[in-house]
Amino acid sequence: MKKVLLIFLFLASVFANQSNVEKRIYETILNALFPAKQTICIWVDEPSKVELFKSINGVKVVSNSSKADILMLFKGEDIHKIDDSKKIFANGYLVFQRVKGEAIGGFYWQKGRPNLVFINKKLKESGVSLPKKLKKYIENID
Amino acid sequence: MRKIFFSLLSLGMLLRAESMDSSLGDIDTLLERYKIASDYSNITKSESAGFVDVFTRDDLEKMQARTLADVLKFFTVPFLSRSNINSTLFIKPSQMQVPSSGIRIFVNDHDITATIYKSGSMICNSITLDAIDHIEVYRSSSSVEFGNEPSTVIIKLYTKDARRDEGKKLRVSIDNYGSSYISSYFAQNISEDIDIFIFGNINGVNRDTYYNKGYALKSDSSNRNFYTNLNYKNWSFEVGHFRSDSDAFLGLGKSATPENANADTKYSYLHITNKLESGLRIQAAFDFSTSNGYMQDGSGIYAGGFGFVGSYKLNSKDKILSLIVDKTFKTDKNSLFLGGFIKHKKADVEGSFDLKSIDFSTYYNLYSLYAENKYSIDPTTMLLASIKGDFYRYNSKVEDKNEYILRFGTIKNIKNFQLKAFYTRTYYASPLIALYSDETNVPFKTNYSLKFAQPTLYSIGLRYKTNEHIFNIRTSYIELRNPIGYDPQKGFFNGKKKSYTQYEASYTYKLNLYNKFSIDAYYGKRDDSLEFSSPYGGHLIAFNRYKKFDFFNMLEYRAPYTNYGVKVKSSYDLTTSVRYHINEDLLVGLKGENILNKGYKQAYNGLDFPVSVFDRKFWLNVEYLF
Repeated sequence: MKKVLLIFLFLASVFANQSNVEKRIYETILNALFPAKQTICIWVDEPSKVELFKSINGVKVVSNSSKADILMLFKGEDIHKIDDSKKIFANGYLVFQRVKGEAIGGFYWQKGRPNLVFINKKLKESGVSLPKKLKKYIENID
Repeated sequence: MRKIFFSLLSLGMLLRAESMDSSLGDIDTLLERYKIASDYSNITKSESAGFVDVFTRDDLEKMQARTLADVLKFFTVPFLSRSNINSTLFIKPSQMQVPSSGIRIFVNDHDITATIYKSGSMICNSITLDAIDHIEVYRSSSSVEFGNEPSTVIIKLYTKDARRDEGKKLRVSIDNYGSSYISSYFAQNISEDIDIFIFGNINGVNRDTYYNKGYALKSDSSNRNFYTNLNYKNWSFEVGHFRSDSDAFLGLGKSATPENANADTKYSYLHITNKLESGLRIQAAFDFSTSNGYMQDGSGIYAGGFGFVGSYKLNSKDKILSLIVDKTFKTDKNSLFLGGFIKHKKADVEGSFDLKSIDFSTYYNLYSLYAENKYSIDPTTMLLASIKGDFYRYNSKVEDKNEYILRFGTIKNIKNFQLKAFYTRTYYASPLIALYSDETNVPFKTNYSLKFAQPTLYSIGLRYKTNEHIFNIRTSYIELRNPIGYDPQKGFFNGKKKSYTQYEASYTYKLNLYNKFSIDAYYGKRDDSLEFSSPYGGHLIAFNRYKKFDFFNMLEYRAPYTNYGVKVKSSYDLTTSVRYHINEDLLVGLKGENILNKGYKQAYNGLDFPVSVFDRKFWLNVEYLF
């Protein structure tokens, strides 16, 4: 698309800014969960988010969830079909509520602000030690 | 003043040093940046609808704003004052006031405007902001894209979104006058398709009492607000209720010597929206409002055909039924917005004036069709044109009217510059109370043949914007044909053409994510060079954060003026707010309003001294999210 409406350009720049920051947040999360991995394989259940994750250095988006290091859930549908041996990261409040028993963490809006949570129990089970700057986001949730 | 200016400057230096410590990669900073980048106003704001100023959620929180009036206080043109009956009064610099229908207030897409007075200003003071995410103010507007009835200033309040605000909040504030303010909301995402937001507020505001010839001029009020919305798939259901019971300050007496003066208003509405997959949006709404005024003044209260009375009681009930349909058609380069609405507006008026009484009802239907086209010549240049036809059909002797709005504009971006220019030919619909009454001609001598005032606006604005700096200059020239005047003998009449010019300039410096400073100045001039209010003024504003503290400071200056033979000195209003985040969910704050006690004063007919629009007050504020 060569020429678009100015208003679209404005909105595009807004969303570009938002998605750039979102990308950096996920980059920080993934690097913290897989500090030693050269390539992190992720599976995403929301097609519109695939490009965002593809743009992160060292991240490969896979179409088969069994080959993924982590499952990024935005919808969290058919949760019973998901391999619970995989690390699960919930994106969105309702998804987080639905899968927090299995998830290693979540990123969602609540109380008018974006929230980042890592679940202590799952971190320990997975043998993940978060860097110091992320430790304050660890919560004890069963 | 210099001390205050240098204090703000020193605070800026301190904050700059603080900002150096936090690298952009820090996760806290990233989350804050994400919050700002995701700000709801980025989605709702429309650059093409006029000159737009946004009070973001972050701004409102740092201001510790409670009511809409707390925010309107920072307006330049028009600025905020209060009427003789203690309702909100909008004034353009040098002017007496803005016509009541010249300003419209929306909550989301709902227009809050009573039929009889054609104004939302009666309830302005009672709209509280804890349910509000952000506020957009459009000026030199009359854009049809909001599907609104005509006005040159549009204030849009966007409510909080349960998708982002899942949780509950309680806020309690008290001031040194014994005023109290309690509000709470509840937001829940029930499922992917259903979410709900419920808000309630009660507040009692105590104010200074003045005395005129031994009579007390009181302005205390108690207010209640309720708002809820339920979203289900493409449906949205909203219910709002505002209620204000207020002392009516000077009342309506000739000499401002009230023995009794009360003005109570209630406004309730239901608004249903359905967005179809085809892009068609259908809205239906029902508004019900009442306004009850009771005044006693031995000096005489003007009551139209009854002449002057000592006791004045006027009650009105308004009902509005609305059906609005619109759709936007978009291509790569073009956006065409088409819409129409039907509104049925009914008013019941009753009153008693000494031993006489009135009781009448009237209604009209308003049919409206509108179109707005935005065309991008290239990625930096947009042209817009809109046309609107409004067809008023009255059930009474009032002459039916066909009114048209034309609007042309362009927005041109050249690197960091943005140029906006608009031509708008619109009209101010006269309130029903000026057009119709029964044979008694009470409370005003009406004019069935009164023409609507027709402003033509020529506006141009230039903005220079970088990541750190924003400069704005704007000017508007307004020609007003058929201005409405009132003569106690003749009643409402159309006067001769008038014109008005306004100038504004502002500069904002964004130091970093948490700190910004701004300065603005404005000037307004009537064609006859008369000054009925302060002709020019400006603000120094700072929003800051230092560790766990949020700061907001505002110094407002307004120039002296003389009206009704009363000289009003230069005014300096300093507002300061400090909030401390005990933790993420618990905040305590202190706010001082009109701290110097030299804030803007309004001159009134019948009163030989001016009165402060805002009292010197200190508020303690506690907010808890859970």
